Formats: sequence, C-alpha cells, structure tokens
Amino acid sequence: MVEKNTPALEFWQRLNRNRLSTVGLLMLGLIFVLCLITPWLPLPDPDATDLANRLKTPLTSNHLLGTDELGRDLLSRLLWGTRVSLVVGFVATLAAALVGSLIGLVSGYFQGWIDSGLMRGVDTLMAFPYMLLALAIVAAFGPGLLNALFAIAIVNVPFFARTVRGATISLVQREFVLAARLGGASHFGVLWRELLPNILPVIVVTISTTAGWMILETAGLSFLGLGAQPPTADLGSMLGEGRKLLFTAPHVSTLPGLVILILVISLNLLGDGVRDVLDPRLRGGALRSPQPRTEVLSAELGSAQVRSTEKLVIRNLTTELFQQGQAKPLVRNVDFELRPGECLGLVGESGCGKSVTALSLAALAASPPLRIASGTVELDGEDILRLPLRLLQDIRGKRVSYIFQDPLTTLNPVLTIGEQLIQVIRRHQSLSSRASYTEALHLLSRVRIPSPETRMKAYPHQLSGGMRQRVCIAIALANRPEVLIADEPTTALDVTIQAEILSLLNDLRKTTLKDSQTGKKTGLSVLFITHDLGVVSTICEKVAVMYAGQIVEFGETKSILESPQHPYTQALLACTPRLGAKHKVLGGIPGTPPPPGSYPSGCGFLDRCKVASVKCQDPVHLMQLSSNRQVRCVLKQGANA
Amino acid sequence: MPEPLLQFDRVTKEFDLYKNWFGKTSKRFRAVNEVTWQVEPGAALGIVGESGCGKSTMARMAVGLELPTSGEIRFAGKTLDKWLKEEALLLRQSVQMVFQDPSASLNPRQRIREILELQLQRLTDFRAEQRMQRMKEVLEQVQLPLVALDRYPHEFSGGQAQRISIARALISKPRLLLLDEPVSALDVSVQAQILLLLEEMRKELGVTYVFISHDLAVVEQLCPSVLVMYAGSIVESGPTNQLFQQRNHPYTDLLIRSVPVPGKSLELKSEEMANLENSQGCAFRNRCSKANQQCSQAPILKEVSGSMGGHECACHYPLSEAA
Repeated sequence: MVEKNTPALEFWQRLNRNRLSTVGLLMLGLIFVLCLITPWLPLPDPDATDLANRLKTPLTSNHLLGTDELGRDLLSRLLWGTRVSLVVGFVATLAAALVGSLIGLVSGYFQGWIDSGLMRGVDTLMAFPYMLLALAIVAAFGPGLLNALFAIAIVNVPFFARTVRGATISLVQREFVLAARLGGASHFGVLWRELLPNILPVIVVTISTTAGWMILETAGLSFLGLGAQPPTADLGSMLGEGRKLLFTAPHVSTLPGLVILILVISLNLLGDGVRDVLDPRLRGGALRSPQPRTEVLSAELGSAQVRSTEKLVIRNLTTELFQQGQAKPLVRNVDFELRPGECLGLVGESGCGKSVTALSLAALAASPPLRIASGTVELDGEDILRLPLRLLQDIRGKRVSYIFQDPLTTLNPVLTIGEQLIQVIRRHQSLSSRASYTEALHLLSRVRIPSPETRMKAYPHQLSGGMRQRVCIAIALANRPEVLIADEPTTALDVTIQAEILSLLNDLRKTTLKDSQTGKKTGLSVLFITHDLGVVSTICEKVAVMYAGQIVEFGETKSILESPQHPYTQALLACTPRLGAKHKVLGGIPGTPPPPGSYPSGCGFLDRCKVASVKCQDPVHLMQLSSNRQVRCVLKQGANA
Repeated sequence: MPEPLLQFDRVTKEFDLYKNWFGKTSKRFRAVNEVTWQVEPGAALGIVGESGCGKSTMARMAVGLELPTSGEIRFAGKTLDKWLKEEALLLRQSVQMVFQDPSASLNPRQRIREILELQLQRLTDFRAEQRMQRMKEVLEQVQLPLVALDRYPHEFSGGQAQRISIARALISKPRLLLLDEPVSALDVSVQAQILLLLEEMRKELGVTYVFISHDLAVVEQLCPSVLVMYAGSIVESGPTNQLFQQRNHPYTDLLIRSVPVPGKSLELKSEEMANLENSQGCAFRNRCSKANQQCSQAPILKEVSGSMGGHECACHYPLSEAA
C-alpha cells in the first residue's frame, strides 16, 4: 500500500510532463473560452451584410480581420463559425464513440455469431471510401449541418468499434471477468461494471486522436456545400466561400484555414499527450527507449591487475532507480565472486534485487531509469562496466551470456530456431554459413533436442516450453561463454521439465569446454538466480541469499541448508514445503518484504524478524563467520565478538 | 458415507481445433477424458498434474464456466445443468473459485469495497448494513485491516491480493471452493501464509476444497486425498500419504522424483519427451520405461493390491507389483 495520489491528480501530473501536449491544451483552452464568450463579445452580427464595406482587408477600422464578399465582419464570423465547427465535430465524435464502443463491447464480449454479424457490418462501412460514404449519406438525407454530423459520425463508427472490440476481447478471458460471472453478474453487469471502466481509457484515447480528424471532415463537407447552409458560418463553408476570391482577397479563405490548422494541431498534440498517459502499453517509460548500456556513475578503477583465480569478481555493486531527481537503491553494495566452473545460486524473493543484479553484471539494466551508482564487475581482472560500448558488446553473448525466465519472450517469434542460432554464432565468430549451420545443429543436439534438423526449421511457438528453454540455452552456449547468467530459467516450467533442464545445465557445466581455436579448456561458471531453495540444492555449490537489495548470507550450499545463520534464511527454509517430509509449514514469514527502492538503512528484515532488537536499526555489515561463510546480522556479530 | 458434494461421472471435454468451411469440426482435442471422481462435504481433494493435463478445464467445468462434452457433473446430488437452469444464483452462492493470478483476478478499476459489495449485491439480498457487516467479518477472516476497503488492487502485494480474492470467494458462504493454483504465483514465504490461512478457514468454516496445483508438496500439506492427472485422464488417486509413499503409476513416480528438495541432489536421467498426440492407449507410454504392446490399450483405474482402501491406479504394470 504505497501510492497516495488520486488517479485524477496523477493524470494531470503525467500529462504535464509532455510539454507539447500542455501547449496543445492551452491553445485549445483559449479557443474554447473565446467560443464560449462569443455571444457577449462586442461583435457585429455575423450574418449582417454590408455591401458598401465588402472585402475590406484586415486591420481596418471596425473590422479587425476585415470583411468578406458580402461585407460581413470576418472576426465575428470566424468566432461563430468555430463554435459551429467545434460543436458539430465533438458531437459527431461523441456519437461515433458511443455507437462504435457499444458495438465493439457487445461483439467482443459475446463473440460467436453476434460478433460476426456486427463486425461484417462494420467492415462493409469501412470498405467504402471515406468521403464518398459521407457524401452518399448527405446526398440521401439532403444537405445541412445535422445530416453532415450524422454522416461523419457513421463514417467513424468502425474506428471505435474495432478498437474497443480488440480491447474487450483481451479482457473477456481475464480472471476478474470470470470471477464476476461466477459471482452471478448478468451480462449487462459484466459489461457495465467490469469491462467498461477498463475500456474507458481506450475510448478516451481514440476520441482524443480522432476528434481533430472529425473537425477536418466537417469542414470538408461544408466546403463542398453539403454541411452548413448560408448564411450560417462554419469554418468549412467560410473556406468554400473564400475559395473564389483566393487571388483578389486571400484573407477571406486563409483566416478560416489558419483557424482549422491551429484547432487540429492543438487537438492532436493534446491527443498524443492523453494517449501517452492512458495507453497502458506506453506506461512505465516505454517511450524513452533505454540506452545500449546501463549508465555508470563513478569512474572508480577496480583493484585490477591482481590476477586472481576468480573468473568474475563483483565488488561493491550498487544499482539504483533514478526518477524525477530521486535515486532509490535497488541493489546495495553487493560483493561476490565466481570461480571457473563454479555454480553460485543467488536466492531471494521477488523484489529483492536479484534480477537487477544479474542485469547489471553486463550493464544490461535498462537505463534510464536504472543506473549503476558504484562498483566494479571484473571479468578475468578487467572491469567490464567501464569498457567502451563496442568492447562490451563483444563480451556480451560471447564471454558472458544470459538465459531468462520466459523463453517465449526471449525468442524472436518470426524467425526460425535455426536462423536465431546462426545469427548469434555469426555475430561473434567468422564462420561460413555452412559451418555455422553445422555448429547450430551440434548445439541443438548438445542441449538434447531430438531430431535437430527438423527443429532448425521450427518457429518458437511450435515448440513446447521445455524445448524453447533448451533452445535458449543453446543460444546462450553458442559462443562458448565463460560465464552463464541464468535468471529463473526453470520457474515457468513443469516440475518434470524443470528436472530435465536442471540436469542438462548440470551436465553442460561439468563437461569442460574446449575452445576450438585456442585449445584451452575452460569450465563454465554459472550464476543461477532463483527463489526456490530446492532448485538451488540440486545445482549450486555456493549460495548467496539476497534480501532488500543486500546479500544477507553467503556460503556453501550444504552448510547454508544445514545450519542457516541469518533469521531470514532460517525462516525461508522453514516455510519451503518439502514433499514427503512429516514437517508441516507453519504460517510462513509474517508481513511482506520492504518494497524495492524504499529499503531501510538498518536491517531490511527487521520488521519480520522474531529476534530483532534496537541494534538492528543501525546499518549491519556482512560478517565473516569462517573462511567461506558470511552473514549480515547483528546477533551474529555479538556472538562472534 | 455421506452423499458426495461434487461428483464427476465419466466426464469428457473436447475442444474443436479446426473447423472446415461448413463449420464441421475436422480436428478435436480431448482435454478431459472420461474422468470419474467425487469429493465429500468438508473434505479437501488435491488435483495434481503438469500444465495442459486438463486440471484447469476440470475446475472450469466444476463451476459451470465450461460445459462437458459428455458425462455428468453433480453438485449436492443434482446435475449442474439443472442447477444452472433452475437455481443458478444458489449455485453461484454455494460454489466459488479462486484463481491463480491474484492481480488479474481483481478488477483494477474497482476499490476493494466495490469488489466485495458487488459480489454481495449479486448473490444475496442483504441490506446495506448487513453487507457492511459481512464485509467486515470476511476481511477479519482473511486477516486484512478494514482500511483495505478503500484501496485499489494495485496497492496490494500479491499475497494481500490473493487474500482479497479468497475473501470475495468466501463472502457468500459457499459450500465448495475451487482453488486453481492459488499459491503458485506467490513467493515461498507468502505462499506459506496463504496455505495456513486456507487450512484454518477449512477447519473453521467447514468449506470443501478442490485444490488444483502442479506442486506436489503444497498439495500434500493441504489435502488428505489426491488425484494425479496425465493428458486428460486420472492415472492414480488415493489418500495422499499412501499415494506418495507407495506410488504405483510410473508417471506419479516421475513427478515425485522431479521435485527439487532442499538438501537433496537430483537423481534423474533425461526422460523421453511428452507426446500428447496419442489417440489410443496409455498416454504416458512414450515416456515410460516399462511400456510394451499391452500399453496401446488404455488401462483402467483399479484398486491397488494391498492398499488400505481408496488407492487406485491406471497402469498395466504398477510399480508395487513389480517389486
């Protein structure tokens, strides 16, 4: 329970972040206010002709913007005309939104023959050229503003119907809709109370992006003489009247043209802003695409030069979330090392910073909003965080590679397995296409994919979850990496498949890799990230337990599982269900972990800890218990001292 | 023996995969294959299996979200068809469901008050103050503070959101609760909280549970009896302790051996891949080391020799007989 802002306030704050949309809003507001107060402004009657004063240029006395062919005051006609255009445009938009959304909701919700019937009708509407359809409707009902309004509304119904139908279909199978149906909700109840509130943003976005277009169309029809009838002024008809005088009195047509331009531009700017705020796909900063590497703040030089036996050494790594001038640490001063051929488990619950740690190792954490505030990641003694981008990219995928949780989103859906493998191989190795094909086949058989030749031609969706994860592993191994970072690689899989993947990873790690070029033998170091202590004990030699962005316990798997020292590790072990064991899990750990980014300065586990004391509010250091054992707890400090 | 609360009698569910030009089905997928089982009032039955084995389809049929292709589902002795035609509202009151993803099962645009109150308005004829009273009660049962009422779902963590889902399901005082993987989206520490809560609720309220999960350890904690499903069929069923200790079906054996346990290393060889295209015979025979000619004939569920009762297995070569 974090946020306190009301949705409305949040909406305005987000909208204001887009400068251009604020400008649009201001311009539109100005036009609206002018139109609203028009009847009370000291203006001449817009329809009063005065042939003696025809075609006066702008800035003549009594006529600020001049007069038209019949001597009517242009400023007055412009303001009244804008009023008419705005009203017609918006009423048409609302009407189209209402009817279109209703069609979309109903056909998306009921589907089946209702959907087919309604959508084929909509398709038929869309099959006619736009203006032609509007013309036909006006021709059938006769010219006039009201008929033009109907025509434009009807023409635009398909846009709303299709957009809303799409949004509805994506929601209908969501659990909250099913829950409402199980709760005895009527069809109307589901549509009105459950679906509509969720689809409203989509409707508003569509309104805001089509309103400008609708005003243009109204103007178009009036321009052709099918909308507003003389003497009523609207922007389109004024444009049409001025067209004949384009060379003798250009101001008569350019002025309404200019107003249309300003109106539509400001509507579109505002519409873009509204879309950015309301469209869920654009939330979370997706508009600002992240840089190719994580921003690294300090230019500190690592201890380097001392060539240790370790493959990967992480020192003092701190990654923070930087938003609106505030830096919130997600990973705090993390230290660990990985030996050649070793498997280290990084264990923790969601939000403890384990994935951000993993991504930071190859500067892959999305930046903005993330950035690395301090620390070094040394691969064979070289700090890779501060390498030039080109060199860093040569390391990624070659010396350090990744496997992620969801193989379906990791693989490219439109490329075959073979194409993706070959792509990765050829990025780092200069092999002929034939050789890389053979290499890809070899990789697929290494990850125990049956009949690799046929699988090479398969697309990701044609494979099962377990097969897809094998392909991801093959891709990760394609360039004989030295370090493999596996982020929850088996969490999305069934138990039996998980067991297969784990035993595969274990075998791959232990078979030493012989580099074809140098003949050097290297073991694969694995950083295995998981929330499951059971999985850890099947594959990892060492474990680092993370909580609230810090490592709270570190040691060999066996000793951690047999004698956990940190209260969090103890509690976590106690609530891990074990099959066949007589022990029953007792209620888990009360409370919830501190949310990412608002970690306390003292012990992060303080609020949930049974043995916490006042001392725990001060920062706690990682204590060395024995050569291979570390724990971050005040109690152990006391015991040791 | 009391009358079963929920009964599946040779229930089959098929989905159309392809339809030809004239709307005739050319290919079908059998998600649930002639299953028969029942659950007594106050009991807790676990249903275990991999994704795609038909366990969720079964849950959806049990609450009437899907209709079976053939066979009968009876709740309190009356078929679901009849319930839905005659007393749909009463059925909704008495059978409720909790879904896997706690954040997807709460409407993001409704406050908790609205979510709970809508459920009461739809299912009961309570007046406003009675509804408030009931909402307070149920929130207390799931151990959430009253201030939760005025918040939106996104303001809660996964565990809290799942408590709200449980509160919504329990608010009409149902007799049967279907739990479809209710803890698999949660962290271990929170998972344990929810499991404990569920167990307390069952003791306190006498609600019957059908608990669907892929996690054997979780099922073992909560359910005294269990069904193991594979490719739409029940392959083994019985009292949980007995079934896990003397598993008879090779698939149950594979499942149990696959579960990673802290402090135990993996003792598993790579198995053959699952192939669900099998039209006849034992669906597991492609992955089974014991399979032979006879397995192309579908085995039927029968009592395991030497069981204390209620332990059944569908296999021509059960493990206990081999020993």
